[in-house]
Amino acid sequence: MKNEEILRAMNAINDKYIFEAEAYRHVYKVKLKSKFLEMAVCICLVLVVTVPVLNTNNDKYENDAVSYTSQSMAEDVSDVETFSNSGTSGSYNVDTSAVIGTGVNENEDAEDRDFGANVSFAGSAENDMYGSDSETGDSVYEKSAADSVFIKSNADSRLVEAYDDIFITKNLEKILNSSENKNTIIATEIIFVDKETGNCLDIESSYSEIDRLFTEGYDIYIDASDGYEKAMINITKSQLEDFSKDEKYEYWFGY
Amino acid sequence: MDDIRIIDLFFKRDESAIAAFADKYKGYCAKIARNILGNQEDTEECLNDTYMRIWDSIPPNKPDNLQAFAGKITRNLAIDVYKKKNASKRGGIQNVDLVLDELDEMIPSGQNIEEGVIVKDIINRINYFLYSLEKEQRVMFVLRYFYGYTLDEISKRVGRPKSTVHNNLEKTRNSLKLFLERGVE
Repeated sequence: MKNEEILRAMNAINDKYIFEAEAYRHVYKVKLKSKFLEMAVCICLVLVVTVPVLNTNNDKYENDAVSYTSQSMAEDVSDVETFSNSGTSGSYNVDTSAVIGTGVNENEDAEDRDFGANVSFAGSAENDMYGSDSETGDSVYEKSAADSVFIKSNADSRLVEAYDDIFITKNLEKILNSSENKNTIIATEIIFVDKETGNCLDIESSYSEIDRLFTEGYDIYIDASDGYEKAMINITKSQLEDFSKDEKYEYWFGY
Repeated sequence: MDDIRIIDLFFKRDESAIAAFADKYKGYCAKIARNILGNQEDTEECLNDTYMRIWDSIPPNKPDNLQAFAGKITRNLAIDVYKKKNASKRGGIQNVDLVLDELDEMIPSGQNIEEGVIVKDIINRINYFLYSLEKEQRVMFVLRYFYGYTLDEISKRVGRPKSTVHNNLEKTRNSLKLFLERGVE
């Protein structure tokens, strides 16, 4: 057999091998390296973009809370003085009708409020300030569970919301699901937030305001309701005095 | 234009089929012819013969793979031209001469069987042998002994040094020779 014939005989090899050989191109390692580098760069870019975004989101809560307290407090020294002065001068009328007049929910019976009916919270009921409306899906700012103060006069048995927010700033732990700690509030500071202006009172003004309310015969309640239970906790004067004295005070509120 | 449409044109005996075919596969066929013939003039002549042969072959043939079909026709025609023009000049100067010498090493000697049967048997065995090879090894083999590529060209195509290609092909040839010898025995 002549080798030319073998050369010709090679024509009979399978078509797919002919096609495979023609189409074959070596993938250089340099390309693989460059792909690896491209992927690494992409990961870095993703991290560079996402980390600040996540931080921004996390800071949003803190910044909102801090600005709401510290900035408002800083801006409203005059308001604090006004409250203090009004407390001493008696120009701040705290009878039931007056309080009702200043409140947004003036005709609302606090005991009939449906706390959390339309608002769902992702975290603990006490501390979460943001949620979403279950009907509209919109983000809403909602008071935390124990941040409203209500008063009730002897003449009118209705609970009337006196202050929109009460910041218990350092420690607030209310563990409703634990039988031992049920309705235990650990607090070191209580700051009132004026319902109409949104301004914070300082601690001293808050307590003086509460003290004045007690003096004038009003009962004070803290709304301690959460997603599980509805609770209006009556605060006695002595309890508040304890709050103001102790750096960290744990008190059992019965209701 | 895709292969199916080109083949349809051949079946309709539409002469634009040749232009469409040439447009798509002229480079491919020219490369095969040039690897065997080694000069442009003979390559052009071979290409024209290829177009005519394909015109005559389709129909009745309806190739599944037009590229491989055309490659084989071109290769056969190029070998014919090579035999006609270089039979007396063989001295191992051209690439195809080296390929032929290498092929010569692979063929088992001393068969007493009728030649046509041997060729058919050898092709079957070569196909089986190719199937058993790693892809890169098989590609090198086909590029060398079907397409007639030089070692440099194969080296660039597969991204290996020329010496590696050479050693790899030598190893494959020896394996194939042993494989074919076992078959003859």
